[in-house]
Amino acid sequence: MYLGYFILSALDLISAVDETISHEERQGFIQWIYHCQRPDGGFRMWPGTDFGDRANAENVKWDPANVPATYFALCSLLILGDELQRVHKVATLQWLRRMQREDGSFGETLVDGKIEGGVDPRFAYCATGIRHILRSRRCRSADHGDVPDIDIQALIEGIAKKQSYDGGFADEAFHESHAGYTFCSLGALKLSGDDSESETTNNNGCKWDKSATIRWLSQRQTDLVYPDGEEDTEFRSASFSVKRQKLSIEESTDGEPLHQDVSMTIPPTKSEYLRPKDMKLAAGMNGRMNKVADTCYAWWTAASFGILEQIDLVNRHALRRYLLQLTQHPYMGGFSKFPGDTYADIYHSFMGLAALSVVSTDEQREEAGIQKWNATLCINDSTARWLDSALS
Amino acid sequence: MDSDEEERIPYSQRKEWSDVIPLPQDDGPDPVVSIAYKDEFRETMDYFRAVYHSDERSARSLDLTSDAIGLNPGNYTVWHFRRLVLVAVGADLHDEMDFVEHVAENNSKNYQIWHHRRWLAEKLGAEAMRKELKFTQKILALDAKNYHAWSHRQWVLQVLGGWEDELDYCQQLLEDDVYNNSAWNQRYFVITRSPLLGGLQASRESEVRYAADAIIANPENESPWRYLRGLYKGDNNSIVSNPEVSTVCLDVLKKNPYCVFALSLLLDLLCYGFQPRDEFRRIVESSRNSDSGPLDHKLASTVCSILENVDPMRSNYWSWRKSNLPTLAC
Repeated sequence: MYLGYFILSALDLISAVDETISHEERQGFIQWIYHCQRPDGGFRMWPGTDFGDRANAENVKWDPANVPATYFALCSLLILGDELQRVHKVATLQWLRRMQREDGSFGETLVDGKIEGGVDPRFAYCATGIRHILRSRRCRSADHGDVPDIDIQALIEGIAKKQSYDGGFADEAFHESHAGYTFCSLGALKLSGDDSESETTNNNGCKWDKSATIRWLSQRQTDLVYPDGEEDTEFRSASFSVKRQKLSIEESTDGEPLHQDVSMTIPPTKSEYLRPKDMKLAAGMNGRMNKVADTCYAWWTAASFGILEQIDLVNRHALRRYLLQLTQHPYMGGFSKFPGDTYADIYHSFMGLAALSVVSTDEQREEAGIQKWNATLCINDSTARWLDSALS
Repeated sequence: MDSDEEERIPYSQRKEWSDVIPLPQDDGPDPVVSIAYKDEFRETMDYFRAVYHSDERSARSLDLTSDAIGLNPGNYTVWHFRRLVLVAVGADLHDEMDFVEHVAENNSKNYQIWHHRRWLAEKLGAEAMRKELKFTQKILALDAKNYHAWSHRQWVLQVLGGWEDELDYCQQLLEDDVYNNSAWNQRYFVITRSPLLGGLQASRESEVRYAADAIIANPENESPWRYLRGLYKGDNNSIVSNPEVSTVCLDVLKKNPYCVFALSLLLDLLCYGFQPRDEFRRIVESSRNSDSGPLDHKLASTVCSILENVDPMRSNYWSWRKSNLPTLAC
């Protein structure tokens, strides 16, 4: 289901769904996704767990509905133009309630009555996304009102506890801030209609510090890249001093230093620091402090700014240059994880395109033929608006 | 798996599996992403499906899950079923630890492996503590920022204990790489949570000094700056009133008046009501770009203007800060 969603979304981003998928294929794909729907709510990750005729009360536990798979199935159906009429909406909303733990977190699957999977905000994000879609103006029906809602208050308090001392969010309290978990946390909070953020945190656990989050997010943009495309595990920043590769991109003709060189031992002069503002800089986003930029974090970070309605705080030009000139594959198409990687891959291509969309202006999107993307729901903005539109 | 080197005998030709009818995967109609499985993968999964369909919890099922995990360690159903089998056959969980260690060598970023490891450690209880700390240490020696290894380590400390050497361990990792933010984060965790220490407030003074030393040695390292700030999470009054914090800013700015992190912390302090000494004003105002117009009334505003220039990557952010200064900022 993940792969399907990544591919369909990427096609949607570049407005290519209609030209690449025939009418018959489209019906077939829709059928395949519905084939993954469980009669008691939610979607399975793939058809491989379905026992078909041999399914019984004993083995049903091996074929559970899966929270992220359900969110991705709903999004994929919407991309294919399906209006979700065959989705078991009430059953899915009821199942969603069973996926929430007492601490407010969500799991991935329900096996033998036990909620399996981590407690991290990936599942909370997908759960609130499912809730948003199924309770939208387009999808809700008369019997929706009978289904009690998930515990929003517990969800919000649980996420607020996972804000780290530096302002970012982690998968669990006291773990390191991470841009992916920060996106999921902010998305889940937004989709829960949370307005509990506060300028100053206090100890009641319900508040989180939004200005600290923005400060942390703004520090994620970096011109730090792998010196020679080395593996993450090989990278040692300190012992050898941080090597910041100077990005010599074609546009850069002004000869200005692109960043502060940490190995500098002589204090810089005023003129060295006070540079012209409009530099031809390429800078991606890292996911954690003192790590290098990576294409997918361009999405997780830029979209976080998007959720907070602060996209202008991103250096859009530098991020666009990073994506278009450094991680876009020069002849294969798509995007790779790091500049200079041998191959582009599906995941980074989708994330790269989505990031490009949220940091581009309407004119830039039109010029490039890419769709406006909704940062909170990670779907086409027109689809997001359609969900909230009145039934005609 | 080691058996890769040997000639693989298909399950269909193995005597001990002759009673099992493999259960093929139903890809559904018109698969969106049809995966071209290798024969070996397809056959193993077909037998696995047959075994867990009949809920056969046996020694051969255990071997089959080892095979399936070797082919795809990300399949959570296989791991789940394996746990049921381990319990049913009364397997030696120490052997299982070795198995996980072997799989983890090439898949240290796989969620399922760490989940399984936690389950094992939970089963074994206190006796697993040393082994788990050593295991994570081994993984962190290969990749000092492995998120799963750090998560597992925190879980071990909180549930099984072993806090005694943890601060030394953080210290050692930070000596290896003072830019390792995962190690800074772990230090914060130990200071805050270790039952052997008196909590954040009790350690604050010495930790401020620790962070200050790291900052003076490497003022461009974001981690100790955030750590220093984090020691006062939710307590802005104390950070403003501790002269040691503002002194760190001043010391760094004296050497390099354009240090982004020093200016950034100074800005935060000013926003919380810090009353700057004249020395601060002199340093900041002498760093102003003479082209940037008349002197700002507020020092915080001047700091933002300088940051816009010296940190052009974030000039929008600094300009936004400038336009959102709280009224109490000096």
